[in-house]
Amino acid sequence: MLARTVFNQIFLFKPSQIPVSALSLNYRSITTAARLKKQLKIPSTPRPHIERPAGSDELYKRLCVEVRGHDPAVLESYERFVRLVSTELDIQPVNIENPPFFTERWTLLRSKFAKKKYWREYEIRTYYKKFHFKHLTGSTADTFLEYVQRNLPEGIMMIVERIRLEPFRDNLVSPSSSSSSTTTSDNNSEQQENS
Amino acid sequence: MLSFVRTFRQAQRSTGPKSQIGEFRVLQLTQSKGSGSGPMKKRGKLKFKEVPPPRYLRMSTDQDWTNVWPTATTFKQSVVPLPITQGYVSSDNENKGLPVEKYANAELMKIPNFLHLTPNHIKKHCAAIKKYCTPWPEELNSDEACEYYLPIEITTYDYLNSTPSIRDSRARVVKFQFKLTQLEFDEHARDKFVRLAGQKYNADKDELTLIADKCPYRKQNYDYAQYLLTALYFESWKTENWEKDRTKNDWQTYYWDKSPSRTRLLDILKASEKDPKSVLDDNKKLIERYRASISRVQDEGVENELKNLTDYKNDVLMLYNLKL
Repeated sequence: MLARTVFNQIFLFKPSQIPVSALSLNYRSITTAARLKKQLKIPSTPRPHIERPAGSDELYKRLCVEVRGHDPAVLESYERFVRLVSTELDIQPVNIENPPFFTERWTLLRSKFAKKKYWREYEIRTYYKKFHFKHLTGSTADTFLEYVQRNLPEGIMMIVERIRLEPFRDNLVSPSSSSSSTTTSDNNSEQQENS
Repeated sequence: MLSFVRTFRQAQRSTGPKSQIGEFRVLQLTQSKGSGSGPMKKRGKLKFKEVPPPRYLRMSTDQDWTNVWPTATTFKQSVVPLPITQGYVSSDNENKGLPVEKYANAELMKIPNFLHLTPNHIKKHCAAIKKYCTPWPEELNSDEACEYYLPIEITTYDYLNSTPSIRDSRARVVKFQFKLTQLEFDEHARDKFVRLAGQKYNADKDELTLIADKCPYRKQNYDYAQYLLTALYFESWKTENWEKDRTKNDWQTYYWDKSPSRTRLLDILKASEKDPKSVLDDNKKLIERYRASISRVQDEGVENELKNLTDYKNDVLMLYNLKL
């Protein structure tokens, strides 16, 4: 049986079972307290009602297309291709980034057996390129990505990061704004049951 | 005794001299000398297929390249009208010291070429697919507008590998990010929400991040994140019975109105005055000053410590000077 210290309470029990004094985390109160203090009395902005019927276009705040390969010349040619495509389709990239290449190196024996004096150095280089786009609709993004992915050269890997925008669901309304009479009666009945 | 009756339908089996129909054929297991195909035949001349001259010699300079090279294929030296070379020549002995030409150049065939993606190709292709693109709505031109209308940012990743399988388990991860100001809270709910969120809440940006990667599919993780968000929100509005046990140590900030310091101060003032009810109104200014300085001492901690403590000291002296 572990001692019922504050530390253990956090990790052993479910969050609803932990008393608030333990939740306040005296052992690391500095960071939690600072965090709690900062967000005090920040007024919430009123939410506009947005209708997003089923089948409506998605909205991408940002699209990041990262390509990786072993041959920098192929990546350069691919960059020229993507630039031309984005000019034609009216979606100028915000930024084209060239992160530094990554080298994986091994030093292995040259011979199958013995001959410890003779080694060989091997290396594999991965070159990167990132295309950043902003404010694309779902259909534009899908069209662009499909064209660009169909023409991806051999031996090149692509990673697509999409940041989509969505509203909150309609059920996320504060309980106080809904009919208060029912909630108070529920609370009373709960309290009666508990006591 | 074996006997073969040769009929008209049967093929001739013996290689020896032709015998008449009905004659008994002798079984020959080995060939006798001279009974083979005759004297040794000389190796014939190999006949090579007639190769016409390369196509690029008959190409005009104003042809449509998009028709010559419509799709991605291996490099064909007879079709490309350019004098391309590839290869390193280390000495004058190799290839007479000249650059290695494109004829039968394996290196040129191995590398990916972009001859199917010239600017003319791209223009043609994009003209055909442009109709599937839609414009970005003008109302969402700024980051603030995006945040106002559509507060949640959902990040997902797609991976394209040239591996035998098209699956990548990293694609299941879904990340939700939004600012808490977009949701409606009262003071208790906001405080509880931040406590429940823990490290997932970034106080500097007032942003909550939920990363869902428990489930194997992206849709499942998306649904789980939505559920988490809903649960967090409604749990923060509930007040549990054990929340009454909050002590002064659990307050997120120093509330002077609930603090023992206020009760003690009022007791002291009431004890000295004759009319206990008017204590607050008479000494309002001094109480306010005391309240401000003690709140600053408790809240700001180490920064401005000296200044805050001297202010506090002065306010306390002023309060008691009144009595003295």
